[in-house]
Amino acid sequence: MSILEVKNISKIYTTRFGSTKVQALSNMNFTVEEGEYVAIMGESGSGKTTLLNILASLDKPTGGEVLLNDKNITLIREKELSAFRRDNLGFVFQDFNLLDNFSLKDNILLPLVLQKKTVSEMEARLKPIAERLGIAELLEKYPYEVSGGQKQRTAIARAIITNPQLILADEPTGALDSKASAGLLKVFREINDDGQTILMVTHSLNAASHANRVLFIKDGEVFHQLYRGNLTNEQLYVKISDTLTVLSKN
Amino acid sequence: MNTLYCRLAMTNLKNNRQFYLPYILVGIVSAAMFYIMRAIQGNEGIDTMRGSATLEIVLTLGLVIVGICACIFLFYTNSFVMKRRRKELGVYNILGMEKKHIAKVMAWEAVILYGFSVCGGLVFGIAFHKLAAMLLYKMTGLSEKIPFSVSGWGCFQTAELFGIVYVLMLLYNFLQVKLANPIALLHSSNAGEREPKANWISAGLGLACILTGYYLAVTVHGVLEAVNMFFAAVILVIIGTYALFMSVSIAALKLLKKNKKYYYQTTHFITVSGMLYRMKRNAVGLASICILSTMVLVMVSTTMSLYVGMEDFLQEEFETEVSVSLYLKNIPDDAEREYLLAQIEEVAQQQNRKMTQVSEYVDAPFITYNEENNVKHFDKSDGSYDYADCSILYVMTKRDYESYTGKTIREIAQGNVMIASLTGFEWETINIFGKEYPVLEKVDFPGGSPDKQVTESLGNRYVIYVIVADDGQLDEIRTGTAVQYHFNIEIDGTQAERKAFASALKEMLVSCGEQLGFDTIISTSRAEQKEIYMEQNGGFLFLGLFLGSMFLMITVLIIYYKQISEGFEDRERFAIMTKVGLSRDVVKAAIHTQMRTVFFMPITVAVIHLAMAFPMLKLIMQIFGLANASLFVGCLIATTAVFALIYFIVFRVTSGSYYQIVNR
Repeated sequence: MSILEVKNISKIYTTRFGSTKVQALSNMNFTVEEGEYVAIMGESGSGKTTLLNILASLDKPTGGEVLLNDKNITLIREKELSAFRRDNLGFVFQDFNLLDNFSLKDNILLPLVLQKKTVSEMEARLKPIAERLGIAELLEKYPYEVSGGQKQRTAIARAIITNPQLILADEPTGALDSKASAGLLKVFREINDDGQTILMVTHSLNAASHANRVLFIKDGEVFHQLYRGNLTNEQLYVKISDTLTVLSKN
Repeated sequence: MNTLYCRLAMTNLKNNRQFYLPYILVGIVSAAMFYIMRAIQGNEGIDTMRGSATLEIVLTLGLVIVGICACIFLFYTNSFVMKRRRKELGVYNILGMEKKHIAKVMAWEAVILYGFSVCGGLVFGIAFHKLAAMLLYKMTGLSEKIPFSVSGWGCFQTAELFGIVYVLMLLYNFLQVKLANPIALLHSSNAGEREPKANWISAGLGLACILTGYYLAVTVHGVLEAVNMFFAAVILVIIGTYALFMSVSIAALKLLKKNKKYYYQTTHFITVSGMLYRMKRNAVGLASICILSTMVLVMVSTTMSLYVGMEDFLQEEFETEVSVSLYLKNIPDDAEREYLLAQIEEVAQQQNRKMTQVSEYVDAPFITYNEENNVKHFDKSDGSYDYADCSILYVMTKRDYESYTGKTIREIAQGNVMIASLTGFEWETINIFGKEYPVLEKVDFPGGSPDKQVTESLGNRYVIYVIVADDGQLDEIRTGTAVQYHFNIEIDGTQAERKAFASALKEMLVSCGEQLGFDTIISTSRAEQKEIYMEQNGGFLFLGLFLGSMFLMITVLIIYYKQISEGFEDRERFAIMTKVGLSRDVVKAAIHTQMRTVFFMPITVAVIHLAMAFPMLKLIMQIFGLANASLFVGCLIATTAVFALIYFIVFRVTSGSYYQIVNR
């Protein structure tokens, strides 16, 4: 069953005095099935960020609808949006977006605190996640005291602790070195194997080659898509690379 | 090339106007205040006025304080602005500007800022000089006909002082740039902020300081002790206040954080962790605001109550309009007393005044040393006692006692005496200078003697009045010591008319001194005293209001910069929290709570300080002649209310610019 359906969405930005219109997305359609791990690739200006903002309900499309579990998120009222986001979506950002004045533990617990969970439930949920992500020893530390990879794993822990329907990752490896990137992608693979649906926007061929499906967007439309099938990461990498070459020629 | 740097400097100032506008405003206002103070203090008109000495001291003091405050103030603002601009300077450096080029830009900026501040300051200063001076003259009751002119010296010294300050600040800024490498400059504004550690020792010491200060203030007895203890208490409380904001607050927040049930609730979670950082960054600023506010409140309310309470004070301190004491070798006989009274009546008629009350009496005062009921002359050379043990003995006749107190007492037989004393004189006899007198009776202690201040400082308990039958008896005791002949006169007329009467009276007394055998005249006139007190208290009030408004301005500026810097810090956190699923309303509410707490903490603490300092302040005010506690309380409350109102308005206005930054 599809967990996310994007139907005919378009987004037109109008400059302040209304003289120029920029079409960021035009009639975009795709679906994401439950348990899928999808990477979205595209060049700068292809509409990736706009798409992600709309999926994250941070922005509204000018046309079309987005269904998350059959619920049209473009119709959710402003007041309920925050609650909707924190109950259904998990976010992983390129620059981590951890709060400097919270310890890693408090950063991870933040969504649960917002959901008004009890302290005992918070700790019960935190323990297995922290151990799995290898940050159990670091929980009392502060973001500025740990490495980039550790920060990103903390951000993932924060994203999955609410058991969200969908994880939205925006260039999650963008600020990491190759070793930390590899670690992060391994974590994504593992949580996806556990059934977590992931939608990842990325520039990185390597990151995309870990996904099960890769969507290519260009000029605000889905241009092409690749399924992993039985391919290994390396084989998928080559196919993605070929597709990007074709994409850039057109 | 130079024009390029100048243009760059102009652009920088424009782009950073959020910081520089208030900076320039501060410069203008401090320069204007300094100029006004200097122009008033340096006005030659004041020198020529009567009794300008007190006022001059007050004004010079004010000038020094204004100067020092302006310096501190500008340095604070400068270092704040520099901290915010490090990144920009780093970018210049990376773009290939050498440090000497940056220095040139900074020098141009300093020149422009200096130009604006001093020119603007002098324009406003000259414009408001007359207003301020008129206010001062009105308060002090001095002539308003003093010519106003632009003070050349004032302009010069303002330009000079501010020139020195700006040069020093520029050197400081050079040093900042010189010490830093470009990377450090680039990243210094978002250097990882360590979590504040609770420093229990300093928290404990701070609390102890404040409590000790409070204890001193609350338990103080007597004026002298209050004066001695005042500075100790003030310093303890200042140290304690800094510790309170710097470590006690953090220790308290840490305790809250340890309580998981409390901490992991949405609002507490955000507030407590946010407050921890805010307190760390702003503790010094908040403590300074608190202390400045306390100073403003104390200064304005004390000077205000002195000024308002002046009339009451004069009525109480000087019981009659005119009081005169003449020192005579011999007791004046009836003829002499009548002659003098007639002379006084004549002065009143010449001046067209009507005397509503005239009383006169004679007494003989002695400095003594008392052992129980044994009264001896005070002997400096006797080593067994010192000045602390000395007492005063007044001897007067029955007739003079009655004239003095207005009370009739029964006949006193020759050789007997009556006693008036506050110490419960319990003996049947009194031995005065070696002769024993039976004590007939105890009578009421007369209030308001001409030596009131002396006797009050001795504590009244060492004062004994001895009342004898007649002049012969008085002569027997005094054996050649001079007697005092006192007049108390109440009179109608305006302030100026009463003052004229007092001086005419004095003239008359001088002219008949030889004839009546006295050479020392001590006379006090309430009208004359009023002028002296007006000048002193009016000068104080002027200074209080002037410095009060200056401190208020400093406070407002610190608040403004605090809000702005917090806005920049919170903007990022605000954005992250929104992404993670916190609704804008909740974030806004949480931040608002923090802001309110941080904002109103200093003034709350200031009010507590004030309440605790009250017993001590009340005693100290007595030195300046304010015994009316309820008036003082009224002034305190009124000042605090006005201050709180201004503070609140500032809060509203500055939180507007805060939200602007956060929502951008």
